[in-house]
Amino acid sequence: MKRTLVTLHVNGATWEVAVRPHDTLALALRDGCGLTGTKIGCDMGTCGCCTVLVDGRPVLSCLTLALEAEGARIETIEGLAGAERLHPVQRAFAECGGSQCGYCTPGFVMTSVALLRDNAAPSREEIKAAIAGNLCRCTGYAKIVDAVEHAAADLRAASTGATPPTGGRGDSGGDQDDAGIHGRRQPAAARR
Amino acid sequence: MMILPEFELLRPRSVPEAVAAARAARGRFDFLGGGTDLLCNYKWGINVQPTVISLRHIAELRARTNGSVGGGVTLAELEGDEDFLQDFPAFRRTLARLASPLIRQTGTLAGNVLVDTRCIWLNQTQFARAALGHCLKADGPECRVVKGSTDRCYANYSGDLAPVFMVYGATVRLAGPQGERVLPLSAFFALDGIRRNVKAKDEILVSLDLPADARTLRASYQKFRVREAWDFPELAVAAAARLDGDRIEELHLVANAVASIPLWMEDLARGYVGRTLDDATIDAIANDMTRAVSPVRATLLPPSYRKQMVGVMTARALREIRGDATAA
Amino acid sequence: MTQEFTVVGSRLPLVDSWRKVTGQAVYGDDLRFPNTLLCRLVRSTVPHARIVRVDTSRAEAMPGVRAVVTGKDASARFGVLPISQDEEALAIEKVRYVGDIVAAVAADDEATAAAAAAAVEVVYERLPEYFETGPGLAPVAEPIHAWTVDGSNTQKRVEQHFGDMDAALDAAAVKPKAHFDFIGVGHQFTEPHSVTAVPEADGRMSLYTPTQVPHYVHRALAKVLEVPMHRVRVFRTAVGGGFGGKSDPFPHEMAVCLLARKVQRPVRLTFDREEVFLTNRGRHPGTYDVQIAFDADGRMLGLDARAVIDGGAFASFGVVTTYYNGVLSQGPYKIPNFRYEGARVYTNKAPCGAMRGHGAVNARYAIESVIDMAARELRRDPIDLRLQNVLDPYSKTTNEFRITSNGIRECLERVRDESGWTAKWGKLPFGKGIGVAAGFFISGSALPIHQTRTPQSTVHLKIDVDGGITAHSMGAEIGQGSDTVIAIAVAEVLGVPLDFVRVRSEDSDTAPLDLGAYSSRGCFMIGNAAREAALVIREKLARAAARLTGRDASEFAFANATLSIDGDRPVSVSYFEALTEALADNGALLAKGWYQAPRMGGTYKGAGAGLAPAYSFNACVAEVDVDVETGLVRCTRMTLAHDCGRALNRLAVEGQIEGCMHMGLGQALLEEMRYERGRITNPNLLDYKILGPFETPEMRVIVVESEDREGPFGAKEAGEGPLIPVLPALGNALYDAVGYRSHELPVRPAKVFQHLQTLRKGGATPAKTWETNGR
Repeated sequence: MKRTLVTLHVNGATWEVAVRPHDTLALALRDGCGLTGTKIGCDMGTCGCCTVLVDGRPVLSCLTLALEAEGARIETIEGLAGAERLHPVQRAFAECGGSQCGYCTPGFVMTSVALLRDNAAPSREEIKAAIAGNLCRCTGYAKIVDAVEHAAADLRAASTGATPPTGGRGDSGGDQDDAGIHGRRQPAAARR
Repeated sequence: MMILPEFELLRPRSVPEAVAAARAARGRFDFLGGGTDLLCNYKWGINVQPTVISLRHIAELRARTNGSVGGGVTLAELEGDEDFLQDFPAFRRTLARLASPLIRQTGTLAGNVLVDTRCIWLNQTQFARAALGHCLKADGPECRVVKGSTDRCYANYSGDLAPVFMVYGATVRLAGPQGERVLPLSAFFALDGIRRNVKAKDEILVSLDLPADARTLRASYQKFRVREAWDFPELAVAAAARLDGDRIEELHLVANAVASIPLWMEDLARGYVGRTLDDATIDAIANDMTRAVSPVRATLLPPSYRKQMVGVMTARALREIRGDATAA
Repeated sequence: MTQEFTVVGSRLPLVDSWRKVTGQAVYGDDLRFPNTLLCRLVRSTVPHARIVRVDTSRAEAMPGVRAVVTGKDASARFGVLPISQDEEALAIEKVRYVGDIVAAVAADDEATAAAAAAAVEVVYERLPEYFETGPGLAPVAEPIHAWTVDGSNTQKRVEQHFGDMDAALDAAAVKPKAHFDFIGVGHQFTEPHSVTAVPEADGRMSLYTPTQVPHYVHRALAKVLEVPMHRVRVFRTAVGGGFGGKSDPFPHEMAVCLLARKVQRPVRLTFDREEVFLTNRGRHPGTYDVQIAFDADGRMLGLDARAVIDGGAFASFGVVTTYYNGVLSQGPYKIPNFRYEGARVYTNKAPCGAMRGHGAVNARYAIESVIDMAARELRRDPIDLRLQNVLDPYSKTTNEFRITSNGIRECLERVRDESGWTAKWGKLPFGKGIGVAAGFFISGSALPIHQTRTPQSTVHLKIDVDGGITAHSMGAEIGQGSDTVIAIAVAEVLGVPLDFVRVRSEDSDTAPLDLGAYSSRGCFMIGNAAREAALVIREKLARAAARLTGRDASEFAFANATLSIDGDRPVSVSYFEALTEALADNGALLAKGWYQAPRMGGTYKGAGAGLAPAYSFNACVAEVDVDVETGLVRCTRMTLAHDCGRALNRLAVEGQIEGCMHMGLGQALLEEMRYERGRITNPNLLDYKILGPFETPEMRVIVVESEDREGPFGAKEAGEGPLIPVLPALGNALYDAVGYRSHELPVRPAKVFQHLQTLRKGGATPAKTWETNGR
């Protein structure tokens, strides 16, 4: 079947990818852009491993046609880290034990990033509700919820004392047991 | 990896353009909304068509005004529409527990209302259907659930929103080659797992419209399934009532996900108008609802159990309407 | 206790997690080699049949198709256990289940490969089909394999008898017994199997695969390709979850190599989710009958058990599973008399194998349920009754397992105290309940699968001028943290920060042998090997520091990247100063450490099964809330104490325990592989129901540290054991809540509902009348 060029704006770069009408966004990202950080777990919209952000919303890229993402702003796991440091959500997933085998991690991270843009201080219940479309077989979700809570706190702290964005509900008080949770931070060099 | 079959993708910008595209495709097409239902079926190789007409680029379908919800509105948009939820509170939990938060991001209202019927014999890969034997709805001669049925499919209706819109008294607006038509949503569904409803293939579900007096109804949707996220309903009950004190002035009931369409229990409900909504009435309605349904083995849980749970969910819905503390 | 650690016992991110949170980790399907073909498989659509003909001509003629292989292309059988090599790369004469691989196609793209696979024509002659174990115990018309017991479908029978079980039953004051049924469950890791075979220019074959057992894959590949082992290289990609489901050498791994060899191009194969279900190796379905004898004082007199397990079409780890169903029932209690009969029966279904808590999970559900019944008959608190009977540290079981460190007592006491047990058990309102169970598990199998004298784990270390320490191991990091264990052991011994250590555990060409990630062996065995290797390096550095300072090498302490001696004449040499001196006239520092389990155990037949250099112990308290109108069961809170010897990484230990609770609860409440005449009917993640965040209870983890004398820094396993008590704790809580004993898993809400209906008919308000009357 004939391929057409589709323009995808991914992580701030513009890609011209040759796709067929029935190619999914997941396939275009992985094979067209070489961005294999986005995973395919069930390929049927259940596991959420393929979650990417399309115009800021978390979207199942395995059930999105590449052509339908034309012109949209797409963010994948590879685009989150800044030049010097990881995104706070990425860092929190590592430091809080939110990632074991890691295969679901990119999807969870993207879903969490979207959540925290809408809600700077989600409760644990709100976090659970937000991640309920992502499946993890390793962690039992507890440390994932921890990670999102900690990332939220980090992001609030980073916004230098300004009032939380709309949707914020003040401090969640989720930072008890802080002594241990963060453990040793990797020096920046170790995570490039 | 699952392989999506080849198809042509059309992306019309308006309803008339979409209707024209549909007519040109002569029935060998599917409309694409969010894709969370259709693309799964296509990956399974179920009833694949050569042309897919995306409705995602039609602004008219995404309109939301005052009790009217466009067919292309995503479930997440509706979930975030605080005005809508204030007016029609039964949707709040229904939306919050519908499919998964990721499905809701792209899944649309029309997609949920028109969601294809589901069955343990149907929703399988081509490989599995070859090994299990094909069914009436896709490539086979006979229904696998009700043996011997060669003219009716018993796959299960699994949408959550239609029953709630039905008990609120919604109408459905369709656009097709002959123009637009409006009919009560309660008359929209047609009992067969393949045909499913009265919408002509080339008609588009433009919107669901709630009447002004729906805001004064008290409604509840009680869904039964084993997981809070992901799972389609094993069964559900929608109810709405207008109460004068504890007297029932108006009552609407739908038994959902126990047949190929949401079951509009008009006569059953009418029989209780004028009665007091007390425990005895609730028990009586629950018993009637239980008796009225005959689920078949198309889902996970045993049909006899699902039948009994219809009564339990009916009672919960009515208790919630009465103002009891939420039971579940 | 008195030992001070700098790294051990902290809360550390897994060393590979940085790759995982950034998308840099390379899993099976993330590899891209130039000129790669894509593979699709032809799988049997019938459960049991003789292959009359496989016609590949139409497929081969399709444009873009480069090669097709069938059973004719490889004749050698393989399997993870040397004693049951019953698998074929591609089915040779028969197919044995729906999903058995008949042919494999390599083509320019996946869609072409799929179309070609569909064009392969297979003609079958149907054979009698066997889906249940019962008929398979006796001779059958067409045994699934040729080497079964007496023409039946029975693959393996085990009988063990210690003491005098009949006398124990005669002497018993109470001796409850029950029958239990278990449905099969699967690992369902999120990463589907995905492999790439690369024919190297020098004629060798490289296989990239997300495997838990690179060494066994290596052996099997050499056997099937009929080449010496050194002509094969196995590269373990990042593994997106294993849980035992990637711990066999698989037919599809062989098939892609056969294709790659034939076409001399790389070939990649990625499963869809259904193929993960078809490949299976999940927990065996089966039945368990158990009777436990107690005297009037609550002393356990004996345990009598019989297991029949449904193996599916191939052996996999099944011989071990058959033993484990019995031998892993011999703790965590003192059981003076013991009798066990086990049988594993082939059926025409997807093959079962090892899954987290291998062989011990279903048996433990049965046993702990029956202990709960006994406690009620004896009118004893179930925790108290268990405490009375637990094994002592540094003791022996009746079947001669060598018990070393044992924190079972502390586990039971702490779950009691920290769950509020005493205030809750038997006292919660109708519909709410609390239950307890205990368990134990091997911390690595003491006997290797292949009985050689090669150590079970070897770790190499290399340090050069940059100071970084490269650890080489074939230990399979699958998310459980074995790479991190190596890094922690090395960093602890050498007193350097964790990021000085980089672990290379992928490549069979560079890594010394390790048997892989199964039987919860990694932490104990790899940890010990890594520690031994680090001690060798430490000695070299200490001697260098001694040369620089004129002090005795044995006096130096290692911490903060410094070698120092405190006291009257303190000296301090930086790690780099010592290293520079050690490298002089010598070059890179190299060291090797290895672990081999000591000899142990009895001499009777089957005495090796279940032997371990140490055992983990645990106890779990579950709290449930039953919807008394519907029968739906929800676990609201779970408290689990696990004795892992010592937590090398507290964060990782907690993560393993929480994962066990989640997976165990899943099997107890929802998970099941459903079959319809041998066909799986729910092979997707919507219909196979893994718990989501809403169904996962509040989880309280208690880490008990019994400090094993032989474990690395005292550590034992934590990855599998904690799953084992979860299921019976839930079952016992359900009984406490509504008086319903589930004799099957998963718990069926329809049956709980039926029970509730019966209670309602029997009287007015249901009350906890079952509290004292036993059952």
